[in-house]
Amino acid sequence: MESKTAVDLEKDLISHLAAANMTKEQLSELSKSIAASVGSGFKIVDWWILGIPAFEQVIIQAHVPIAETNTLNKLILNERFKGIDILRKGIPKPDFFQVKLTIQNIRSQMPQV
Amino acid sequence: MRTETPAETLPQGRVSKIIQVHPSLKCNLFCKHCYSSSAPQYKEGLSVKSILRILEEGAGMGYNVVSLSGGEPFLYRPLEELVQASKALGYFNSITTNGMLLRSASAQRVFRHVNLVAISIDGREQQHDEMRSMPGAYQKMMEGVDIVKAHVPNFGFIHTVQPDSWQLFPWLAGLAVDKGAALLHLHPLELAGRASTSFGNMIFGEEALLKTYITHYYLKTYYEPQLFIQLDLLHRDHIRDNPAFCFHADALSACDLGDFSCLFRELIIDEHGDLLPIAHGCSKRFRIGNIEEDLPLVEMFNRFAQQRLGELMQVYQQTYDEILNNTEHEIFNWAELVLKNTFRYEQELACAG
Repeated sequence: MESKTAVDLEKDLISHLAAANMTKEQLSELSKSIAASVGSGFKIVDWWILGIPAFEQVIIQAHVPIAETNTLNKLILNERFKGIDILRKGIPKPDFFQVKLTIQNIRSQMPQV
Repeated sequence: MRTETPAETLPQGRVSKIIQVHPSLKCNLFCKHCYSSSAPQYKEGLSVKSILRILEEGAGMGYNVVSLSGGEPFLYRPLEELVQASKALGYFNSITTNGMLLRSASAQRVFRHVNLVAISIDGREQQHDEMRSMPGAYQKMMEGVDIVKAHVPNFGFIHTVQPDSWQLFPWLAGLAVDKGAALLHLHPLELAGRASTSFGNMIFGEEALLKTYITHYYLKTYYEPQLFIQLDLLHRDHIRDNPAFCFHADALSACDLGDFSCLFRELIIDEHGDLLPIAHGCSKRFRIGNIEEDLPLVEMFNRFAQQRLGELMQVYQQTYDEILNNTEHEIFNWAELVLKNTFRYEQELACAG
């Protein structure tokens, strides 16, 4: 996991959520994606919020137990996630999927300057 | 950031079924955001014998956590007797406190029987002291944190969330981790009691709710499992997809109607000794009974099942439908909405009757 201090996290959040002047629709889009990720039984292990100051793209990395293939089906069918990378992980025996989700449509909703 | 083994905050492997007790509204502070209007002038507390009777019967029905609040629990004289007996009954004891009255020998005896202490924090020093209407409250609370750390296996912080609090969350989480806390509980301000006077015009706009929700998940990712962060707000999609969580009618089949601790995972004993479902402050129409009532708890539950359970199910259904049909908002405080709807239901009955 990327190592971030509380001060780093505070800076990230302030720059993305306060300074970027995101619209309600953009915030809503991101919240729905989070709800969908959590609702799918994900254990989210990392986020990358890309774009300064506002979101252009959010990448969520998460773990799904190997038995939960239904969760993967749900994710693949969910139009909210534009990119899905799935890797089988676990040593010595694979026991979880590492899933990387990309939410990109935030960019298209950015206000034109 | 440290990545140590997570501390145990709740009984492992057990579903928490909580009896929340408000033994008195007596408090050393007069906080602006207090939903129960607790204050120094209150004197009388509930009979410890009567509370223990309910706890004893509750333990036999599956309840396994006692959560003490108030008022300030450390001003309740028989607190030691209460937590000692509760512990002996097998309960996981949790206390919510302002952390300012923990130096005494009696407080430290109480700690022997307590599993988790949650200390209220409103922000950085100035903000905390202003909210508590007492200069020096923050410093004293921090001294209390050190005392708790030395005596109780687990402790955490509880923060009353206001519309702009999300900006404070990273600082709160960082402080909690630095202090070795296992829990950060984020509870949205309820416009009840004194809070309705102090913050009557305060509105959680949708934008503030969305930022609160996003920030909470962002921090969870970086701090869990070392620090468990709980926000008492839900996304509409989550409510829609998990009706069982919200006690939607369809979920009843999964629950044994005879098992009240399954139906009401949280049972409240308020400062009047009334037993309530949902949360502190719900309409007394839905009162299950009173601790002084000469009736076993199971019979109070059976009476409630016959007289009020159907009505309460309607309130739950109404709240669920309201949330799903709401096109303006997507983040909700489920318990607060149900609570409001208990009063609305009562008013509608009065109008109809």
